[in-house]
Amino acid sequence: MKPGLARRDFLRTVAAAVVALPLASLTACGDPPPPPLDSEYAEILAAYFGADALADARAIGARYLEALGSDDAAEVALGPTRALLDAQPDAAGAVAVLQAAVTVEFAGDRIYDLDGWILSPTELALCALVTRAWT
Amino acid sequence: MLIDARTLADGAEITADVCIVGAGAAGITLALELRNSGLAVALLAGGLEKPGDAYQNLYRGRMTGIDTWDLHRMRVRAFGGTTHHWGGWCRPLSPEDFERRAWMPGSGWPVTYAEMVPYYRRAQETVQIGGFSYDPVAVADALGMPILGFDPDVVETRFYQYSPPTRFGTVYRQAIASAPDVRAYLDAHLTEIVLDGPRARVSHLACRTLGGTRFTVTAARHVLALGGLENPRMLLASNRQLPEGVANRSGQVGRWFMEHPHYYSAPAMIVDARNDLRFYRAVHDVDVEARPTRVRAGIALSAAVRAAEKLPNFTCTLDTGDATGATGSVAPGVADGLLARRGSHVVRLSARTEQTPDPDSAVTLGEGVDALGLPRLELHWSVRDEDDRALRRAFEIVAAELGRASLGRLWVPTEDGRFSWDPQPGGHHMGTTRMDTSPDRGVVDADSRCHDVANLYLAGGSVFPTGGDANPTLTIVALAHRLADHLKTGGAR
Repeated sequence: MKPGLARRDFLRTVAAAVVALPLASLTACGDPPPPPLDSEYAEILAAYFGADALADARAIGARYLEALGSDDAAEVALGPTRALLDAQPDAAGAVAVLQAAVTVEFAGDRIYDLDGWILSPTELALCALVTRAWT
Repeated sequence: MLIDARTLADGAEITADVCIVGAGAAGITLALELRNSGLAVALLAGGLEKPGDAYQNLYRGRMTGIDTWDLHRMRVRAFGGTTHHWGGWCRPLSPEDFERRAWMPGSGWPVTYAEMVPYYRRAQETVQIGGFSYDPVAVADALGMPILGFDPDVVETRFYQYSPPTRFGTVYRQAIASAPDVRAYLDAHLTEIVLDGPRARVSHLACRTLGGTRFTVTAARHVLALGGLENPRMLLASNRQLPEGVANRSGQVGRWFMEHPHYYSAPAMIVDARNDLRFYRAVHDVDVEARPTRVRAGIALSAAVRAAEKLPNFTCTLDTGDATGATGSVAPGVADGLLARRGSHVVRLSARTEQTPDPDSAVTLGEGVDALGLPRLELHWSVRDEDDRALRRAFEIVAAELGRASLGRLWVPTEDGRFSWDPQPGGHHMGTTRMDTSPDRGVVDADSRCHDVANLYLAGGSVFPTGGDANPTLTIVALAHRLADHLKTGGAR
């Protein structure tokens, strides 16, 4: 079996990179613990990212939203992922379909360049949902 | 026999069946192969056994375009040539490197990979590496290490074999010195290729020592094996009889200069810590076909993907050092230690890439003359904008496959849709006297013989029509073996 990328490791590393210029303060060592999520997706997001990786996901999401540029563009970008989550009966099912969606996107060359990091739109949308859950 | 040309009488006339000008990897391989063949061989080395400043200064020139190492430092003018500072990286060109690729101008060797294989086998012995087998699975298995779980139809694992490296001037000195039919002249510099009346054959070679002793070499056949910069320089500089120089009716001499742009420690790859990267992150001792060698693995796009996407060839090695110390350029302001604590491998990739041939990337004669009275060389190295865009696309595909296989993610330095990192040279000088079946498009034919001059051959990287991404020395030596066979069978006396 091929080992999978640990999502938390990935998120933390990417977060360190992509948010460094505008958002370095969010990822510096010794960040205060993140505030509790206030979102109907909180359970899913925590299950997918891991509770201690949410701050990194939030930082990446903020940079993604900034790159998208407008609320309309963000809605278009986040919509499919939100719809995917809405269709799942529970968090476990949501995690499974999210993982599948990310794999399918990479396999189909549906990628997004966030400051040089080549990422899947779904994983970025997830990060953006985390960001929005905090704001 | 080794002869110091400074001991020759001024005006000496040397005769031989074959005269090889240049005593680097190609020239010495040719001389070794022609021993005991019934041919009298003269081998001219434009220096002494050890490098020296007076000889290196002959290589001084001017660089325009991409500025790289000093021209007089990237090459060594001594017996053994640039193998004096060769790094030893060996890998054959890929089969498709020899094929015509519609999107690659000038592609399509008049020699196939299959035709080259027997010569690659011999070259592997000459450069003292393992057998001619480049199956990464077999080598990884022999080492007890896994290869990464890419889909091999997308991203393949490759490996290099490391020559010790073979210092040709040292390793093969005794073999040359003791060969009764090879006379190797030190401090013997070609100054002019003199053609016969109809300008269709070499009449003789005008030569001298650095100190000024002049002599000539008259041979049935002549081989220039001076390297990818000096071969065109000598053809262009021999312009007393023909203003365009020797073997240059096509106007191709000096054009199409290619390097292998090297991008050191450029993309950053995050790989889950549970993946075993040992095969990729170190040099390993292993036997290949029962011969000991040292190998280093890398990753590349498959031939099918490159063909579908119209991409040049390239190979990425994973830097052996930990990337945390170099994350500043990836993530300015983030503490270096941040990544190291997080469990994943963070690895920089160093890419060695093929550049598409560009006629404006060229060697020409510059201003001023060297101590022999020859015009200085001017090198204009350029890389086409399309290559940077193609490399960016290539890394996107690697990144997508990393993600699809749940192996990791990739950061790619990009600007305006182009891969953006300073190219460094490999010291690989290719393409300046390209091989082509057509005398309009090439300087030499498939036998490495000049289209315009029947008894003049060229050896070395200058004859490569395209360069692939593999370090060229193994292919240069393989082509020298091939040319030796041709000369032994008496072609074009």
